[in-house]
Amino acid sequence: MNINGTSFGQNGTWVIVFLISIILLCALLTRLFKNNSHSNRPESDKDELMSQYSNKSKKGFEEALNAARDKMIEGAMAQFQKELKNNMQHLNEVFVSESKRITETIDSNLRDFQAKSTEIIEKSRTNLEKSSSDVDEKINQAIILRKNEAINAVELRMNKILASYLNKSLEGAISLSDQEEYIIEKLDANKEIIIRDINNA
Amino acid sequence: MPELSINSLPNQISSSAQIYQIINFINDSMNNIGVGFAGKGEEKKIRKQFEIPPSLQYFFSKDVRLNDLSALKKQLEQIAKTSSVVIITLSDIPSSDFKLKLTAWFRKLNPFVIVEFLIDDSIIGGLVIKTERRELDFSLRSTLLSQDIKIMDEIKDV
Repeated sequence: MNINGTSFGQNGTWVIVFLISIILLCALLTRLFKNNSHSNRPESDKDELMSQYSNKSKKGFEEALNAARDKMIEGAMAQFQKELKNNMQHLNEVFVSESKRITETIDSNLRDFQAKSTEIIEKSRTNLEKSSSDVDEKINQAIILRKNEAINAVELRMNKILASYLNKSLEGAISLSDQEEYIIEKLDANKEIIIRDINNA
Repeated sequence: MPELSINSLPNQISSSAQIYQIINFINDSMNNIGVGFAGKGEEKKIRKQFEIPPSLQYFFSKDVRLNDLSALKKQLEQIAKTSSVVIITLSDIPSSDFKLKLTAWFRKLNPFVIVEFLIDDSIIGGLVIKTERRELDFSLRSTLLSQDIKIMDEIKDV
């Protein structure tokens, strides 16, 4: 028995090894069979298979391409957004700066304009007052002048009337021949003045 | 033949109008008899034919030859343009003698002075002398009115 028992133990190991071998063999055969069945498929099946592989490859390539493109776009967009942000910021700063400068310029010009306007108005007012004063003075002078002219004209007219009256009254009473001596006397008395006048004309 | 040169204007020729009358006469004479004639006989003949006005006889006396007309004309034109002028205003028309007397008085001062006469009875008497520089009023009217009497003041006082 022991002898048998020991033999049996050794035989059992071999049986297990044998069974595992059988299983492996079956798996190998199944595989081979399967491969064999594939290789023996008809031509249309091959085309379909090729088409499937091609589509699959194309799809995979497109997906990879799309993914790369998306990634590139995403990167470009990020860069663009960053630059845009920078530009917007710079633009904003420039706008603020320029707005400030323009506002200051306008304020300065307005102040100048206001000052000049005030000055002009003040000057105009002064000139107007002066002109008004001058006009008043001129009017007064003109009135006085006109008054004096009127008085002088009346006096001259009266003088002429008086002279005419005397002339008429004395008509024939004073002949020129009676005046000859008087006239020559007057000429002799003013000889020096007359000499100067007629010799230096 | 030396050119004519007169030393003074005759007292009979007092005004510029009379001087221009002579100039016109000379022009007419020159146009009629020509300037380039010569010879005493011819000159005498022309003198007879050409009636010289009495007032201008002075210029055509023995001292002046007809050949000298051109020179005389130039000198008279010069006198008319450049001489001093005195305008005498009288109250009445002067006699010829008095006119000569007054002209002679002025010609003693300047032998080429031109004396013009005006009549204005409003001066009443005396004379007014006007030169290019001033007016000397020796009239009776001026004497009467130079009493510094203001008519308006007198009227107020009446």
